[in-house]
Amino acid sequence: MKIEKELMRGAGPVAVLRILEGGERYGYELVKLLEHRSKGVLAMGQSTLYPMLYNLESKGLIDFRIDSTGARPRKYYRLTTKGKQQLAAQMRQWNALTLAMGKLGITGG
Amino acid sequence: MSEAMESNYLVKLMRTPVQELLRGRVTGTYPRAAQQRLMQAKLPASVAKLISRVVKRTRLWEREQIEVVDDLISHFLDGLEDGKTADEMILAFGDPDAASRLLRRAKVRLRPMLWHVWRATCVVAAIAIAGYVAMGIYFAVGRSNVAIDYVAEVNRPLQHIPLENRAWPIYEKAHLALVHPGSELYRRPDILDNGMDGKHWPEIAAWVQTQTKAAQLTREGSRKPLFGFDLPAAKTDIPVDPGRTLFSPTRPVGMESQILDAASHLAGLSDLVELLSFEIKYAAEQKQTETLHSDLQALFDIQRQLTQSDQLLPVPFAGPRYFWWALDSLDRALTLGPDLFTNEQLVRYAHRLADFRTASDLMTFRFHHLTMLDEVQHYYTDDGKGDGRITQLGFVSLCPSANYDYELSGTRAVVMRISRTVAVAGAMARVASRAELVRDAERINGMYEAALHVPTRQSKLKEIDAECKRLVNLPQYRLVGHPFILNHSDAVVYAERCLGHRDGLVVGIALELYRRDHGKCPATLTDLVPHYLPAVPADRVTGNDVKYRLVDGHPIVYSVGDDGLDDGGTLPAKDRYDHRPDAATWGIRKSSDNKGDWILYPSTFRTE
Repeated sequence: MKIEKELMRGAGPVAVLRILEGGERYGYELVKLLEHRSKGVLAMGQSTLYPMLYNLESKGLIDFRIDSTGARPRKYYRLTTKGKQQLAAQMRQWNALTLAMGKLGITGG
Repeated sequence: MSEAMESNYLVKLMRTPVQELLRGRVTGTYPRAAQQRLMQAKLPASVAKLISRVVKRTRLWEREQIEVVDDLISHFLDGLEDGKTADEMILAFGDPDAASRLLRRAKVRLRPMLWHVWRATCVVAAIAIAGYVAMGIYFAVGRSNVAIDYVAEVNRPLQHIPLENRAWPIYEKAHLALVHPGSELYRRPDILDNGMDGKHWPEIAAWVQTQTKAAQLTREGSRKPLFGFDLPAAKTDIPVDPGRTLFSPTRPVGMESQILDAASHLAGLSDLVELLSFEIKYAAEQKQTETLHSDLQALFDIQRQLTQSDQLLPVPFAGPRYFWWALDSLDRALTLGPDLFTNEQLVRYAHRLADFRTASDLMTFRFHHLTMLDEVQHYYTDDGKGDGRITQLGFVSLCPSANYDYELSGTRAVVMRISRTVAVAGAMARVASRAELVRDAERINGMYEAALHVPTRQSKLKEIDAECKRLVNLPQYRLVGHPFILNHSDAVVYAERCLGHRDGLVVGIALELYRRDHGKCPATLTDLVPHYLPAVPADRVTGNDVKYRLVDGHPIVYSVGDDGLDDGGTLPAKDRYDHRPDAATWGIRKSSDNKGDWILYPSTFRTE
């Protein structure tokens, strides 16, 4: 199922933050996890993911470190303290929204 | 790309933002470091091409492009290692152009705050410059529309007046007959400065006797019912000496108000009036009663012709000025030779003087009003509804400080004009609109016009002056307001002083008639009422009766003057030119301070 752009714009960053809450990830890993965990619903092209990561970075919600221990350097993204607070707030809003939508018979909740 | 090509200057140039500029884009270069990283990654050609395309189009800084290249290389390598094919990865990547846009937007957000401030400043500056340029063009393209021929408007009432009823053609002949500019006498200002009261009076008197033709023609002209001055037809190809215009001597040639230009022609009349006033004194000395009364009659008639000439007076001062000449001549003649006047003649002169009730009988500001409208239509655009904006030529003409390059020619002139266009655009935007200017100028003009109808002490002249001053100091008038919003208080006060002089002369005539009947002067002026005077005239300063006293057996009539204090008929110590004034000059020249009394009669009175 393909999610409309507008919905994705709201859901995508929360989804990324949520994945990063579990630990630091590199770009390709994030794409895969998003696709896998959302069963393809939140699968996003790399053309969307990287600008989103830069935006989250500019807002100070994530930062990164370069790991040079492997065969080639890899950029790992991780949640900042501000990102954690933001994620918690976003999750509360999403829960409230889902609940409300459920009561309206739009979602399963 | 071969090394030979790499070293090619053109290729190098095309790797700079020039290439993008040629394509209509403002961009950074595609850094060589990014290309090298891509080559070292050994990605499939299709993937490398995609990354190149995406990164190039981000138009980011070099450092930012390298970061993006690194991220994308890493991403694609991860995907390929994960077993994805190049085509699958490219397909999953999405729209490259959208990616470029999104990447750029996101990366730009990551730039330092200082850069964002600088960019915002540049944007604001660019908008301001564009707005300023647009404003400059807006004002530069403005053209006036001269819709009304004010010269024709003013001349229209004269169209049906036959030539034989007009005085002006005869005055022109009289002026031509006057041996004036080339004469030895007129080359010596020391003679004329002291005029009739100086030691050179014998020379002047001798000259007067040689001017009988001019004097006779002037008297002939004065007997015509109308002044009949036609303003010259509009000139479009004759350069006019800018110095001849009244308000702005720096005005460029070809933009003069025709009315203002025409006004200078009337200046010659003053030479003729001066001749008659000299001749009156000479006639009084020589007991030539016929010449004396003919010339006095002529002076009063010229003054009447001027004030009735469609109220078109070249400057507001002209009406009272010619009145002053007539008054002064009558005053001098009466002082020099009271026996030259019969009782009937004195009564007739007194009645004639009494015709002038307020300053409005002597002057008007209608001429100034027409001039203002004429100038406005030359210097403003016309939207057809009474409004418009100042034109560039209008601004340069009215604002002397902007009128600096008319002497230049060639390239310098072009450069200066362009710079002027840029420089004055901002100033022009601040100048009052046509409707605003006309409204304020008419309001002030109307206030001064109203002040002419009441004695100055009741006219709130100071308030009008303050309002006038306030207006010309407003930003919209500071540069160009002066020719339009004029302070006329000097003219109003001058007319008032003439009327005061007239009051004194009327009392002087009544005193002479009383003296003839009683053999002596009265003890007080109330003794003259009602047989010789209907009432004692009011002092123009205080509103109380004018003052009177005898000095060495001779009567003087005086006002307490500007200070409102009775100094017993003592003139101020010095006038504004640092001269010891006499009564005839005191009213005109005023004192450098406001002390002393204003001697209304006789004009030859002096205090030693």
